[in-house]
Amino acid sequence: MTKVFGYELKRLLTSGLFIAMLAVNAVFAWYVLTTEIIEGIAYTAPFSVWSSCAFIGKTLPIAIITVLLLQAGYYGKQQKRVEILTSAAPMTYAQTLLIRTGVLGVCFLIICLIDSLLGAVFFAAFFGYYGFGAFIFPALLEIIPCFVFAVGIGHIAGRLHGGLIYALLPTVFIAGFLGVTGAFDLFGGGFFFSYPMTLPVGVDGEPEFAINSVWLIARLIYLAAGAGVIFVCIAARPKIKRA
Amino acid sequence: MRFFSLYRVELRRLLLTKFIWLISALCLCSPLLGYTVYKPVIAEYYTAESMSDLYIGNPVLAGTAAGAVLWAVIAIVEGDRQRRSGTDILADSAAPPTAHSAAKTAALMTISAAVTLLCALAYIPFTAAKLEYLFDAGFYFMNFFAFMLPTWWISILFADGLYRITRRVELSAVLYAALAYMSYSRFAERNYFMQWLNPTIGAYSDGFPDIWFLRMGAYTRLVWLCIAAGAWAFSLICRRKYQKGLAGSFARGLKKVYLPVSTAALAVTGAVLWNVQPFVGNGGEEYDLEAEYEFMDNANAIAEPAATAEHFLKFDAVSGTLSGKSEYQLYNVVKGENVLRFNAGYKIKSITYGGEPVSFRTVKEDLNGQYDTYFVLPDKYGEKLIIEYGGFPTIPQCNMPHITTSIGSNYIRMRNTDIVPLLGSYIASGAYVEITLPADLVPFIDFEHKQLTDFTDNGDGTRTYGTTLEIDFIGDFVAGRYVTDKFSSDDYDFNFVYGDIYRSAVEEFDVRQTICDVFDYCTEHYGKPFYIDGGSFTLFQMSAITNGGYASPGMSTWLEGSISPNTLSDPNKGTNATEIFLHEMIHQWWGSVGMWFDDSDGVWSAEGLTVYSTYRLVKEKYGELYAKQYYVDNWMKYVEEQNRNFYNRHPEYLEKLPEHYREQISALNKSVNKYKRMPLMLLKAEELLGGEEQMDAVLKQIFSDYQKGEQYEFTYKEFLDYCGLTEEDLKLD
Repeated sequence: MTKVFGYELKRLLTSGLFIAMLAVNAVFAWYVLTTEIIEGIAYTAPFSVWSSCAFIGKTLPIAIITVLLLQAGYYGKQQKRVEILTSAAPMTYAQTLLIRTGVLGVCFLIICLIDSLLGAVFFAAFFGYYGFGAFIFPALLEIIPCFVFAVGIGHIAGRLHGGLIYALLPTVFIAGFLGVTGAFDLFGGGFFFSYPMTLPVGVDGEPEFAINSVWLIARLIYLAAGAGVIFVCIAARPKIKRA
Repeated sequence: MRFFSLYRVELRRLLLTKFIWLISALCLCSPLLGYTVYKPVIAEYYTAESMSDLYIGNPVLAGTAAGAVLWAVIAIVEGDRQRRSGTDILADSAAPPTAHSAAKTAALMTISAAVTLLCALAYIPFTAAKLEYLFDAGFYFMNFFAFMLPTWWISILFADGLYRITRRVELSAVLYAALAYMSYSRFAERNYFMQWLNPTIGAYSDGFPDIWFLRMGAYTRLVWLCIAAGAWAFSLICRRKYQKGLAGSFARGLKKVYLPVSTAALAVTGAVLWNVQPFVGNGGEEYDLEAEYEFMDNANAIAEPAATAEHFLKFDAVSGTLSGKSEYQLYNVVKGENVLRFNAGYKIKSITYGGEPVSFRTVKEDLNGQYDTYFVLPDKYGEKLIIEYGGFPTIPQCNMPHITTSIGSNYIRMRNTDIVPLLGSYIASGAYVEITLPADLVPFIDFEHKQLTDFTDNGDGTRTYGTTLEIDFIGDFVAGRYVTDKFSSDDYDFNFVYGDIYRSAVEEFDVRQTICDVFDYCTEHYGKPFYIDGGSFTLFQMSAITNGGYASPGMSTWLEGSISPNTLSDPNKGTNATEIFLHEMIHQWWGSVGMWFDDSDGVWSAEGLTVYSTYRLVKEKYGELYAKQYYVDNWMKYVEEQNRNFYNRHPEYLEKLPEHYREQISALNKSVNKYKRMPLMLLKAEELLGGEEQMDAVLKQIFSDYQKGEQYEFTYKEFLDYCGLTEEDLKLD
């Protein structure tokens, strides 16, 4: 199983699509940093936790689009042609699905790490700020539910029809870039722009960072929904048509 | 010959495809976005959208961008079609692949051209009905064929090329999206030539149709067509062959020499055209006023008097160029290097002194859209210095996207060094100017906008006007189809100058009465301006393509949008162009030719007092609620944002930012201080003084004292003294 995981991971990491999309993600992340985050989100410092969360939220849609594009490969025509061969491997469908989810997760984490690294370079180079520890927990709360939910939806869409994953891309784009601002903002880009504006300002002139309970519940709902969808996919194992 | 037979086959095949009809139908609908959600024509708060912006500019640009994406989709899908069906190998063996690819792309481009024409025809009835008397069919069609069609072609070439290079639908789509994003990104925000998908239109004028943006649009499309065609030719080199990968196929593709040669030729042509573009200067984004003062100070320090200055100017409305000759009769020559300053778009053809040619060098460092030229005169006295020049005037980067200089058949507007050279070494006490321009344009000269009336008809559709100026400097020159209306209020005689096309609107909306209201209000509250000689006053309409307005003795400009049908028929609009019209009128009291203000502290300024007075007038005209919502609340919002801004709270971090970020923040702060913070401070002063009447009394006193010449640059401290208040009193919480 580890071998299959390693093989699948190598296959995705060395694909032209992943490398191209990694570059797109990195360029976009730097663009967000130097045009929006540099101004400081909701009048807070560019290196505040609010700004950091907004940065992650702004870059997540592109990362998720990358994951969906990679995921589409698992449900494409070429993959279906070799399905009969790969299904001969001594692995259950659940294992296959979890391996694929894990591989996509690693790809997603690599993208997030690259984005975060760029963020760290930006904060250090522009502002001499190095206190990145405070950014980690909120960032994990943002990215993990988002990934699980998106991949879950991607799996079920792919199972229904290979092309449906592509149809999800504009939805991700709209949800990510066209001004969703509430606690249920999947990516957090809109939420972290608007929510701190509603908070009282502290003595330092900035709202103190606090995780909003509704937002936290929304993250748990997304996490549970994504995991639930993956579970449904595993439970409803597809039948393989044999010639 | 093979190409044409393949082209016919491909065109017929495409026309039988349902998908192409769907895409064409969507393209026909795409301009609808421009009426609703996508309005790229730039309209700032001080300018109103013209009818041409709303019903030509926006729909055409929306159709251009949306249609381009749709044509890219079909180009990628069509590129993938044979590979998807596995017939690519058969097709390649049956037809020469390069000719086949070219035929396919040409067929798509032909269909897109037909769709562009249909699109233009489909929207004519609606546009003509909306624009009514302002509709110009030629201008309307030019927009479709200068912006929409070439952009669609560029998009097809890019998408087709990207697919051929990557051979992956999703990858070519992502790369195309990245290209499209580049066009919309902040990197392209001030670099108008990077905007391949979304060409720029700053603003259109209804009354004085100007083709400057069409000229630049067509030029940028040409640049990008070269680049896209280069990329497309490059993709032919990458076309997969002999079961090889990208690198192997590329190596073999290079053997067809005409492909790399045409790729390089097209790319180089695009790059050269980009580099030599005559439209936008490559100087700084902010106007460098200090450098202008420095030039003038130097000139005043060293300049020798000149006996006479004569300028002979000829406008070519078709090519948008000016050719001129300036002659100076000198007494003495300045030893060492002489300097003259010109619009960066002009080329100096020759400089002669006493009939002898003089060598010169132009330093191509763009300063506010101008270059300096240096020359040394021979040591002879009392000779004639003649400078011949000409070219297409450039718009300074700091002014874009507002067109400060344009030469067209409907409108000509030039300023300062766009017209005649600014000599740093010689000053003439006056000048004679001869100007040749289209016969149907009425010319006005200088900051006072004096109408030129003495002319000679040349018999070739042009007239030559002659006039004598009191100084050797032309601050402003405007020519258009103008009419002058003369009327009077209780105190004033107005010369109301406006575009002939607006004659019926002026009648219908009783614009004359509005003007009388403004002047009556300000005269009653602040007193009569001393500079209105004998009560006569000129109100001059500027084209909507220009930015803002100004006033000078006995004259105030006003914006075209103030009189556009949609502005004048919407009394509920907030801080709109009509109120800007009031604002500009009020500058006759505060700023410009009214009182001068010492604005060195960055807050106290003529703008602040003018905004406050506009608010008071609007409050009286439209009521307290309206004035609070559109003025006071708006000021408070901006001031609160300014106070909360991280860099204003922690200026130490400002130093760590790259310079252009610092400039952005500084420019924003200056603007908020002038237009938002100071009016709020004046409102506070009004409260502390006891109300509007008391405030008016103070302002009237100040204006009256200034009229007596007791003040020159009125300072904040002096204002506080008049009010009996302190700086602490007016500090905002």
